[in-house]
Amino acid sequence: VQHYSWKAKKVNYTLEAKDRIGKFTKLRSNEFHPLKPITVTESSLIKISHRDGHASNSENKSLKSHSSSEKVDFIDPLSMMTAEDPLTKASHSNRVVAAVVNEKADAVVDNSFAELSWTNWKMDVVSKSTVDSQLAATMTSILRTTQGISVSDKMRDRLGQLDEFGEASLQEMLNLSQQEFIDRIHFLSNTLTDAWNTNQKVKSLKIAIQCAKLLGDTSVMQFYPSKFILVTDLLDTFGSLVFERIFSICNGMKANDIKPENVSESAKEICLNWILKVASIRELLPRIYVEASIIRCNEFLKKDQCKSSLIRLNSMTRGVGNPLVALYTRAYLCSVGMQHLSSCGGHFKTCFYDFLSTFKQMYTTPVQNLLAHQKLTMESYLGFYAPALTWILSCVGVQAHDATLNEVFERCNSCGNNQVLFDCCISAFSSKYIASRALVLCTAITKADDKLYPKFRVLQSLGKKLIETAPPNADKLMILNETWKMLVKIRDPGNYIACAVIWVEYAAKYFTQKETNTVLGDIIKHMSPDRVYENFYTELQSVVVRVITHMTSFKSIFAMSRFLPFFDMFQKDGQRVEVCKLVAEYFINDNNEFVTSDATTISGLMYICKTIHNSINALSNEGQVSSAAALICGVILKINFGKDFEQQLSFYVECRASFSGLDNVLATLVHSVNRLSAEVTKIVKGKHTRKTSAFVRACSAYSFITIPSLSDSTTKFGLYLESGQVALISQCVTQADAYRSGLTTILDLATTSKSDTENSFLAHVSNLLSSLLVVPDNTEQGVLFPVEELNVISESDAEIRSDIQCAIYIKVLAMLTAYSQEQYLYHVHKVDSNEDLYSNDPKFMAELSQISTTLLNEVLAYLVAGNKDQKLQSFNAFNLFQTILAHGDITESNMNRLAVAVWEIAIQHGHITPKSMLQMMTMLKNKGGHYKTLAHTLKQQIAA
Amino acid sequence: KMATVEIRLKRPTKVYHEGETVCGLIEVESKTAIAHQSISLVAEGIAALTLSAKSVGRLESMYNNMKPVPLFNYSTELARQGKLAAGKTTVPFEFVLKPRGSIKSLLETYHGVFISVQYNIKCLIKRPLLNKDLSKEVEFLIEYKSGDKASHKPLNFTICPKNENSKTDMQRFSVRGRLDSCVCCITKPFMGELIVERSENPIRSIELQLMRVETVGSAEGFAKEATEIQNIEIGCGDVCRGLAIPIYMVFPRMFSCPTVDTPNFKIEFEVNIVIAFEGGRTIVEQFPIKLTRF
Repeated sequence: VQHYSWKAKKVNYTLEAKDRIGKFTKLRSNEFHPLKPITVTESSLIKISHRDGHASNSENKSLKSHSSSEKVDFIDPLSMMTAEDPLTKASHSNRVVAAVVNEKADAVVDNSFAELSWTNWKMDVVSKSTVDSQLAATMTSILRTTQGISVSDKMRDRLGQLDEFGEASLQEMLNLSQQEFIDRIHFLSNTLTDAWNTNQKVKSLKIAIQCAKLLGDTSVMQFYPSKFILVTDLLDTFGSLVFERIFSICNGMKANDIKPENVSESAKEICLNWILKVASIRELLPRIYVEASIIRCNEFLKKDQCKSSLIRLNSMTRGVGNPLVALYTRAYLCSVGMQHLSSCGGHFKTCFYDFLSTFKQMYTTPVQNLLAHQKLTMESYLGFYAPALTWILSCVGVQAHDATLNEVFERCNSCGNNQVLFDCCISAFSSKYIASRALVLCTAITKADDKLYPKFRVLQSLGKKLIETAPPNADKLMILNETWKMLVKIRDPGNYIACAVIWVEYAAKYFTQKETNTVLGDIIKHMSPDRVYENFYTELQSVVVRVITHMTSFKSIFAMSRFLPFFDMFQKDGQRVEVCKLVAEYFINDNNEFVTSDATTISGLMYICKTIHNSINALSNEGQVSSAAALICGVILKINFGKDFEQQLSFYVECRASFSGLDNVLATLVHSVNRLSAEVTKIVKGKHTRKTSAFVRACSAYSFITIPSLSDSTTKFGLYLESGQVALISQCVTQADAYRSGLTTILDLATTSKSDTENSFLAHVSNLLSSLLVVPDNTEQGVLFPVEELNVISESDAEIRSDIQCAIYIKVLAMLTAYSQEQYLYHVHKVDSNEDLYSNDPKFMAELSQISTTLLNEVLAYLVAGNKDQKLQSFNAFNLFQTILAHGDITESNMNRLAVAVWEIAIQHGHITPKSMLQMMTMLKNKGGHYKTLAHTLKQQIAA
Repeated sequence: KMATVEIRLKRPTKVYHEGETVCGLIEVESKTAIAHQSISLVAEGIAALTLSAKSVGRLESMYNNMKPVPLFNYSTELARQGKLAAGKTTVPFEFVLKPRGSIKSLLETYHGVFISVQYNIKCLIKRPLLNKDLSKEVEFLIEYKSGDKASHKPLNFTICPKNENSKTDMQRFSVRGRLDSCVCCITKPFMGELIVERSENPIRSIELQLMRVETVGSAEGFAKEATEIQNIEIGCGDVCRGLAIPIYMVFPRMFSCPTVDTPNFKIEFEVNIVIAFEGGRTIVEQFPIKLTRF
């Protein structure tokens, strides 16, 4: 191997930079960018140019990179797109068109709305009324699937059709368990559709009648609401089958616009036949239900016939003796009304008034006997009324005038034991209406002496509505006082907390910390005796969530003396941690407060963070650890004392002591402290006073003490580097010596480096090297001591792969070239680099050149060694070639020859793609001068 | 089956009035060609009378009158001997509805127990020897073109226990109500309302019972029978006291008709309000009604 010596190229960076900036601006002035929105406003241009300012401040920025709260004050072309995205615009205009169309097809929209709320109501009832939770789940799934039945289950096996649907099978059904009942109804529903599709229309009708009959039976009242839903679903299916059949005969008519005069005679005949058949059903209840299910067919016969039929069915319901059965029948009539005729508001009101006139029936002997027989309390019995009643009342409330609602309330008020009515009215009517009358209602509730229906339910409903819409300002406090007076009297802790959960939200939403605090105190008082809170963990958690959601600031939350004591009720660690996590999350996501410096808030948050921190132990899994760390970091980043840097630092010190167990938190702390130090440097504009320099030193010390306790060496190295850089700009040159510690980490890194971390390892090394350029030599340790230190790499070469070593050497070569310039590429403000220390001392230059030559030869030795990976060798050679071009002085014949030799090594195994070779050639030619000549030589070589 | 015959009337409702022309088609569908000797059509209307088992014997003298009363008759040959091609063949027909002989007017269609008034069209395709004749029969309905009108005279009523001697029963039970009319149009529902004011015994159900009262006979003697047409529940369970429960019933087609009064037979109707109590006791209140077409 020929011996080459390194000859560095001399560069005048200022000249080059000027040249480069010239090109830059030219590029930037070119305004066309594919991602730019079509309309570029001037302000956005200004913003974008602002971004350059940031880039120049890159050191500062890199420090911040870990902080999630970092504000982005440049406009991202992509996010700007969304603001004025032509697609969104298009879809918006589509929406306008759609709205116009909607207006035209008003009835259809209304219907779908009614359908939706009916479905919602059904879901709601199923989830509430079925005692057995597993059963509730199956019910829900049935409800979801019934819609598809009419189409998909056509081909179901027809074994069941052999069954007779006579009285015998009905009798049998009464003995079934609930689950069996559900299956049975489901089965019947399929059979009904099958029978219909196989032209056994009478059989379908019979099934519908039999099922409707089942609703007359209240032997298991708990199950009645669910049964009602199952059966009405089946009836709806039946009704739509009949309607579709007749509709299919009416050619070219729209379902929402049927003109009886255009309906053919035969269609009318079929329709009339159905109606007469149904009208001759002997029993009252099935007659009402089945007739209601096919009520839409009246549209074929006469305009507005539906409405009058509905009114008649409604009055026929008066003949149903059992008040519960009658009420649910009315609920079904209302749902039919909602689905088909959105305009018959009066009908719903009549429904409700009819119910009111039967209301007194509940207290008659037969009903009471029935309750005694089924061992039901009046309270739970009234509970079965509530869903149907709420549904009817919400039908009344749709598009109703306030006067109507007032009238309804008046009527309720005149009944005895009217709390159940109040409850249902409140939950059914619009929150706006309720809110405007909240105080009146509140007084009415206070005065009511209903022993049968629990007051807390009414208060619950009222609270829910008032949270939706605020009552008049003047009434707010009165309402809270009145309500709380009633709440205090509730004995049962379950009932109490169910109600308190809602009213605490009311207090938090409309009042200051003072009132909320009182409420919280009362909850603690109520829930503490006998440790009842143990049973109401979810409710208590919900109290916390509601408070933190609605209180305007965390300052006021933590200012409440009862807030943290509230946490004492979460006795189990897991529970408390969960609540703490919730609070931390809310704090982090709270957009009203970007930062806080309030002492109470901070101490509260520290308590919460400590609880989270202490929950992590050796058994916690990675996910738990990282989520806990993320929460704590989030909180730390939001705590900011502004200009009070010392307090900020002491806060970080406290944090380090408290959260030593979480590496991520420690890393964040180091980042934060580095940022703090950099900020101080920025404020003094680089001219440190004694005080500030002491502070930044303290910051550095903090970092370098904290870093070693981390376990992940990549993070460690990154932090070392960052801390070193910050120390440098803060002019703590001695602290920057800590690079050395960084070097040992390099070793750690190198030994552990696997192929996937190689790239990042090399990147770290380059970063380190470029930082070293500005580090002045330590006078005590001789010339270029950091480079000497680098020798540790070669000394421990057994542990580092030779190709990586080679790559590092090539980078060092570049660095040494940078060292040898008269003016360095960059400087740190107020820190003298080696160029000033040595001012181009020939001895220093000689030293540099000598080290360079040594390194070069090491590299060359590797490149020509036989037993190495050829591909890596080629790449490294190519790298070296580029380094030579960039940093070597190729006017020198020695260097020129070197370049040619290295090129030869690079291309000899064919691993370098022709494309990159071509690029290289073009580049050389463009550079002109010696480079062009070199290109010629190389070209000949390729040809050879 | 080789071939089918259908009779299609032009009116889907199949309802006709006296003096109108009945139009229709005979539809023969066959896979092969059919030879036939004739295609004939017969339309007739008959009031058929029967005696209930208990009346038989008691009124032997009435037997003469038990013969069915022909009301209308029409017959024609639609085609002479010939052949019908394979596939669908349609033969149109039409005839005028005119009462026969001494009959003054056509009675309305009515399907009862002892009396029924029916109008049929029968088509017969006579086939050569060894081939089965093809035939088809359909019913068409007759309604009056004009006639008595219903009145709107409400009838108030109260229902009390029949057992008059116990005054206490009366006090314990009281139902009052109103029928919108007792002369009712058959196409309109039977309406009214009923209020249970007092009832010490729990009520099980309240029903409307539509009864037909059929009288067969002559000047020498007659047999009168009342049977149920339909039963409609208007109240189930122990209904709320003091609340007006609607009375509402649709008259069934064919099983009811405007009240008929001829020398040989009568068709009349009644509505019973039946209140049944828990424990099996019932109270029945009878309301004779007259049905009209208009």
